Amino acid sequence: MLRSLLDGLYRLSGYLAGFFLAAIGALIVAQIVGRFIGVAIDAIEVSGFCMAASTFFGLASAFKHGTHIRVNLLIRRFSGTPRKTAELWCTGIGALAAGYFSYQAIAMVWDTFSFGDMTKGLIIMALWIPQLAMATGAVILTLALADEFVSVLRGREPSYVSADPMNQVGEQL
Amino acid sequence: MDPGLITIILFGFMLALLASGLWIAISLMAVGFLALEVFSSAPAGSLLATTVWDASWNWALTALPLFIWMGEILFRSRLSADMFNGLAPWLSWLPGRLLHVNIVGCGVMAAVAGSSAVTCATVARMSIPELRKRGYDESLSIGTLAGSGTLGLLIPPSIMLIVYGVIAQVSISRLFMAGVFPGILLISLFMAYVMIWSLIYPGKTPKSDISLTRADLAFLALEVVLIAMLWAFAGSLADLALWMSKGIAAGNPEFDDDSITGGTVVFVLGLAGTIALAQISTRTKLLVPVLCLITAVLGSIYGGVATPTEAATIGVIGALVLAAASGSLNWQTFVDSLMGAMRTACMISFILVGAAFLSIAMGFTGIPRALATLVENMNLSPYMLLAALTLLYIVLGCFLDGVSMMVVSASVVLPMVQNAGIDLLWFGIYIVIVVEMAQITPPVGFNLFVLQSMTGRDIMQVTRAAMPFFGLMLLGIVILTAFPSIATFLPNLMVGR
Repeated sequence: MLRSLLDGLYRLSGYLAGFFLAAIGALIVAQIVGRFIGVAIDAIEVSGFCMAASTFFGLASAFKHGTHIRVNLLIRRFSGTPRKTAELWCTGIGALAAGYFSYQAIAMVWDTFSFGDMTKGLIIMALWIPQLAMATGAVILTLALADEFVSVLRGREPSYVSADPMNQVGEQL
Repeated sequence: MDPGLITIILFGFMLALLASGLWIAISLMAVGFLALEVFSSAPAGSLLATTVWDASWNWALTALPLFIWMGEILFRSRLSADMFNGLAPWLSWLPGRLLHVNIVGCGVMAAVAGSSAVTCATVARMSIPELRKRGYDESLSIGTLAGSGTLGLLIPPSIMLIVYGVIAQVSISRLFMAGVFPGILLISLFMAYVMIWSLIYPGKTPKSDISLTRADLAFLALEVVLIAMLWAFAGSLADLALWMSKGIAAGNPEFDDDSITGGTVVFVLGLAGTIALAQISTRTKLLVPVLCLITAVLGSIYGGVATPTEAATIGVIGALVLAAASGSLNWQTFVDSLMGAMRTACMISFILVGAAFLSIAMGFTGIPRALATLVENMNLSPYMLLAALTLLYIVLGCFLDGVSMMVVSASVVLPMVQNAGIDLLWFGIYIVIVVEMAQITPPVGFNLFVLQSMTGRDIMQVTRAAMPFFGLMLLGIVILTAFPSIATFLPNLMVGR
């Protein structure tokens, strides 16, 4: 139950990230077409916000797929308990760091919200709305890291290792 | 506290975190946090949130996921097969024959893909079995792929140049243009090496099994004429756009919005030409259209009619049209390419925002300034500094991948380089070639991993095959240092500069 809920959350946030990436393209097309027919559409700020949303919503999905890179020169030589300890260290520190970042991001969004800051571009909206993507994405990444920590503790192989493109590049191509 | 000591502590901390396997983006943030919290009085927590946020919605960065997406779409199309069949007749008369397909194929792929692993894998997937079947020297065929696969980093559109442009605040359009001729220089060096090698060992190159009929030759000639016409057309359109916008283009040329209609016209014509060529071409279903796509994307940047992001969008649409025309586009491949691009872009942006925070934190500790002064007092000539940096990057490249190497060193190296009076535009090209070399140095060399898994050879054999090409890149850097205008003359010619 909890398992499928969490996996669904990561997947949903990944699709959201994909949506915002496609949205950048759509906005730029609108900008080009708009200029062609003489309607000024300034996509610079909004596509920047889409970029940020795509990055932060994508964090957990990229993490689960083993896309985030790290130096595994040393730890890939370990196996058994030393390897498990190393992975626990990585996911543990990672979860703490991501958790702290989420806390700071939420604090920042709260500040923006209470000061009532607005965006500066053509489309005026409250600045906390695009910023919320950062806080949400960071929280989901924290969940994914903590989730992985627990599953390594239970003796499973971390999903970012089994999904590492470098371990399966031969099958893909 | 003594800046030297702080540097050693922070550097040691970063090495320890990286070696322990912690993700690079998180390591960068942790080191930045430590630097602020312990060695400065600035509020680390709130700076973390605001710096990361500010770095994450940078407009210049939006070109990054789009160019990655373009490469992902073409990677999933049948481009690699067409590339081989399309290039083989052109190149099989050179000494070394089909080995040149590896080099030129990587060069063409590099101009659409922007990442070296995709470039290397796309070409290798097709050419390794073909070359093996015909009995080519395996070591040289692996080496050419490893070496020219790295061209993806240099030839625009290049992810690495976007990353550098964002870090060093150099115009990405100009960086792209600066990458063109150094890329061609490297291709020429690689091809010259293959030719000399084949002339020394004439017995090792199999006989050509491609016989050109008169119809083939006529078709090839037609291709050349069409591509030349397209280039000329794009060039004249860029001039026209410049003329139209002369009265209004007083603002920042990078965001010169008023001349965009020219870019749209180039795009529409490129698309029409592409479709027409796809109709008449029987032998090379995708190759010629892809060359047209490259022309449209780079031409619109060169002509100053489109920003890199707009050119990237044109590239995505063109790639989707080509994939659809070749029948390899369906909902599944569309979603796969989108999600694949999203994850790669997310990984790179995450490292970039981490590096932005680290760089701000380093600024607060005063380390970059102290080191720049130190280097200044050593009275190194720029050449000595570059030699020292090359050595440093080659060593770093043994342990770090390209993006990380660049962002980890940027906050310290860029002030140093600027202080020594080196042009940051030129330095961008220099650093990308050095990073390319890092891609083929063991134990961490991404291209080596790709080729290892595709050939089934062990990493030592792949490395040995790649070594001559490592030397050729070093030679390329020496040439580029002796004649810096190889990189800088094209951006200086750019329309709307």
